[in-house]
Amino acid sequence: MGRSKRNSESRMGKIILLLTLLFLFEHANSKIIIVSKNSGTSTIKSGIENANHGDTILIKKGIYKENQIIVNKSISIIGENDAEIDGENKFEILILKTDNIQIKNIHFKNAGISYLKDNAAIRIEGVSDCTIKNNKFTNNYFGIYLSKANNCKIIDNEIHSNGASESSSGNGVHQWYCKNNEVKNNNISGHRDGIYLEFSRNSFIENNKSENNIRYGLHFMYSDSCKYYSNIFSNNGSGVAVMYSNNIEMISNRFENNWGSASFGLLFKDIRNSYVAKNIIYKNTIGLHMEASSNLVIEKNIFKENGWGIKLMANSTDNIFTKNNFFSNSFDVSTNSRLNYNKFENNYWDNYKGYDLKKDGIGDTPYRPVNLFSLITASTPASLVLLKSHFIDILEISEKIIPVLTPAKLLDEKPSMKTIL
Amino acid sequence: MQKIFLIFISIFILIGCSTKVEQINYNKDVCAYCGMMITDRKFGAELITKKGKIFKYDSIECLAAYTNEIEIEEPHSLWFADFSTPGVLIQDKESKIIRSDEIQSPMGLSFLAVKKNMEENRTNILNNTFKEIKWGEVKEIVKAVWEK
Repeated sequence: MGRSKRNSESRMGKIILLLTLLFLFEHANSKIIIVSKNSGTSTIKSGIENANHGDTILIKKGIYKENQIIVNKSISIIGENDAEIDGENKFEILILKTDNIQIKNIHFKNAGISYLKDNAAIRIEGVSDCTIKNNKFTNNYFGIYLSKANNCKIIDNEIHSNGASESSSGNGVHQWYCKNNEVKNNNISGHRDGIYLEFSRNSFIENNKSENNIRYGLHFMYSDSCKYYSNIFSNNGSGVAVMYSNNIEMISNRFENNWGSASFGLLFKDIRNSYVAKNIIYKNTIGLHMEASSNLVIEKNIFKENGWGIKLMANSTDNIFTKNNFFSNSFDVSTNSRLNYNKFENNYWDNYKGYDLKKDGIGDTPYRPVNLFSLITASTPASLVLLKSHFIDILEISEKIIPVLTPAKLLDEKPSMKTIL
Repeated sequence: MQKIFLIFISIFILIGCSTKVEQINYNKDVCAYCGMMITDRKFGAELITKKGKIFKYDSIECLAAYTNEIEIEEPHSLWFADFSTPGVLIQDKESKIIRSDEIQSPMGLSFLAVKKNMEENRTNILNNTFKEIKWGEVKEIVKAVWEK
């Protein structure tokens, strides 16, 4: 037994040695092609023509006015400081058509706005294992467009557009029918959606900052088994929309400053089996809007200074809200029905007025987060002008004593007396 | 005096019952069905009821789903964004709906509308892989895919 193990180990060693040698050999064989305004190879297209698989193209400082550059070899294209490719508002700039391409340190600008074609600064089409790192994108229609692309990495990029003032704008990072892609440490602003996923699986989105986009900071459509951690979404049309998707993990994100008549920090529509934890939902018209969604666990989040903390539509069922903190929201929870099939337990509510005479950290009486006024405003939005009026206060008190209109079953049986962090 | 009064009244009544199409305010209006902001001028749709109430949608899919799921009076008219001249709404009578896998509509089912009499050469942007679909079929497809 031991001998065969040693045998396999030594075989393993040989294989590794062989691979290393191959790798070195390949590197020894690969060359660096320099593209410069004042040398023989003055365009990126000619640089790619002269390259073989494994080569590196180094782009010297300068503005290169080129578009529809097709990369069909597994090469690295690296820019020196201030290497710019200008699409001159026509067509697309770079189109990756084979696996294992690396694009680094290049400034892409002015990929053309087109109504009929989704022009992007970089289009990654039907390939895998490409890396887009440390680039800058300004004023492009779409920034990076991944179509049927797998195992790609989009890291450390600055992706900005002035879409807010333009009549039309595409998405910053767009994924369509993709698998296993990583989007990390990017700053994205001024696009339609900062990051958009449609029919994609297993995407990992971490540590990005997506702000001032026209529609959403991040948007899932029919995309399952994705994760997003530690991102900041602020000042977008609305924060993040998760729609028609399953198994999404949302942890440690910030959703903030989304103000507008129908703006929200977080929207769930038709999603299932997802986990939402440790997020901060701060200063939104609606913190979390939830529709036709079920089997979600929502815990340890902070809902602070929102108009509505949670708008829970009655067609959402079997969701668990636990150990969340609600501070200074105009309405903690509102709903559109007297029925409730969701569970609220052990949350901290700063509006809770009960006592803890048992000293077990749990309020002695249940808390009803849906107040009468939120129900009235749900059916008649204009009644919102009565907010803070004495008339409403009197109604609230009488409703608290004898609940007639508010959902009898929507209550937190064990409200926490202390904040939970 | 009475005459003027009558004229005013009739003007008010006429304005009140207007069933005129209203342009979609892109990047501001929200879809009446799915709640998404309407941003893409190539898509978008509108429903006008007989009483003149207007609902706007981000896609043909959402209009179809809305009429499938929510009971409304017989609509006065349906309008679709003209794919070939983005931003312009055309009435259902004057349009044909096409499904093309090459096109990504906001809700993912790839429906788009163009003018009925649009010359064929303008559809070459779609590489001729399109297929015209009747409104009834659109509603059936949306029902089949979304109400699993």
